[in-house]
Amino acid sequence: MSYSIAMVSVGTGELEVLASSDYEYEALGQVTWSPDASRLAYMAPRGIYVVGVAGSTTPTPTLVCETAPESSVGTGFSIAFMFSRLNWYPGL
Amino acid sequence: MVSRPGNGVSTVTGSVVDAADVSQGIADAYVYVPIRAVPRTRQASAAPVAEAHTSADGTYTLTGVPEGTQSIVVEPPAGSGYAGMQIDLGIPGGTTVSLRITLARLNADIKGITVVPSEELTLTYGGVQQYTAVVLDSSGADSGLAPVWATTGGIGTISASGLFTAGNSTASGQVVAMLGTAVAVVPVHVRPLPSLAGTLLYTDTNSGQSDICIVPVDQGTPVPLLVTPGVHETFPLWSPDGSRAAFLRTTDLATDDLWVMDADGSAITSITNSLDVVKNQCWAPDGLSLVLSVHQGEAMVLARARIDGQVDVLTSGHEDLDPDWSPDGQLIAFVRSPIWDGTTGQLPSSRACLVSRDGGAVSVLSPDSERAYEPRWSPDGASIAFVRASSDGTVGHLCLMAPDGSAVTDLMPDSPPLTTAGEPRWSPDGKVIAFVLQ
Repeated sequence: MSYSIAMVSVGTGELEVLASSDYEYEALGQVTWSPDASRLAYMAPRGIYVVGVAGSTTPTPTLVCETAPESSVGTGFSIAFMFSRLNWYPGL
Repeated sequence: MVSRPGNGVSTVTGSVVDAADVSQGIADAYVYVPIRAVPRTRQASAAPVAEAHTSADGTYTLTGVPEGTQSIVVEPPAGSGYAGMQIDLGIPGGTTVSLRITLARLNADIKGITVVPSEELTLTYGGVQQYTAVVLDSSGADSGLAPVWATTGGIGTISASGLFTAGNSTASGQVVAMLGTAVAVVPVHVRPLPSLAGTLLYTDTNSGQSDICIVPVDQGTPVPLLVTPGVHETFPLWSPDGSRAAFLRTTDLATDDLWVMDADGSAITSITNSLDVVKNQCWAPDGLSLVLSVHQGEAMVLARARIDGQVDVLTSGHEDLDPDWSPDGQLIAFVRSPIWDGTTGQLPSSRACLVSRDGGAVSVLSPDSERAYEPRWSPDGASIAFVRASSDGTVGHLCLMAPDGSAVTDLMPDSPPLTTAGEPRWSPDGKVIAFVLQ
């Protein structure tokens, strides 16, 4: 089983995959939008990633920071992942 | 290493005390800062940079200590039976550094000190960090002795039990644990809270417990917002205007309660008391209350918790989860299942429902023949996104419906079989829904 971060246009139904698991059973989740709707952040067992959603180029997720010790990564989940509710500060 | 004095000089002041009784000052100890870079011709007669003898109560003052890394050397009075010691410290320029130095008897049998956490740490103004130390005997075992704690560089204060509290000015220094000749040093930086715009709020577990941190998306260096020793704080969530954050706190890892704090991590306030909150709390649009699921006997019910502490139960008798507040603040969408004892071998039903913010009658939006999860209001309140799943829960499509449950539209009609959507998140402009695809 693999996970992806995707988005769908409400008006057109167009589906776009923005990021996918690096390995089987690596959970991705905790999706949160930037206030200007230009980027998405999400969590993986290793840490927090951000990916741009605007533009025609292929989205490239970037690691923002590591949130869990290396030893807890590789099982598909980490404690930080399970006990977080990643959210972007609402102010610009 | 060569010290490079800068423009400023500082004063180091404090006392030299007995490690076995820190109220006992040691008189006539010689405290000095040796010169560290001297011309070859002066080596034979090089005088200390600063020196003092302790007074009768063990106090001393070293003046004119250059900034930079310096050694503080203590030679006990001849015949006193104490072991001398040397401490290497980072001295900031133009300040006064308080330093209490403990000397142990020569037979104290101390090998070293280990401090946890040992990593370099950055705290925001007023932040706290609990340090623990183990004084090792000559065999490397825990001696049972307690060290004396100190700080340098004006970074803050530390209690006799190792609880460090950061000051309210930008500084870099060290937390020091000392006993006799053994010293352990941990670098600490104190910084103001960064601008919150462009930051993410999350739970960090790198310290071994669950702490609430923020991280600037474009810088990547996490900053602790709330660290409480021995307490797990999880699922932080900004209020709609960003003035507060709600979070769950547990001390026993069994029962979570809802707390709220100001955006800078201050004014931490308990909202519920032993309610056993389920993790999915949701702010009202006005930021004055939250809806959450709480355990009530065998049931999980929705409750509205105001930030002044008033809690009203809105539903009863079911497993009511995943609440989401309508943008106008009048209604709450949620998922209702019967109380499930797990013996039937079949998943219980799961239906999208609505209830008023004040409780009362529940409106069921989705048919019993389908399973609905994670209802999420659109920003304009005109529709609700939700996950419509097969009866066995293995396939779930992202769908839209009107707030009365009509006009259901599948947003993934052409998605591959056996794929399941989850975590629908409307974009702020309402044009796109992000989600997790399995």
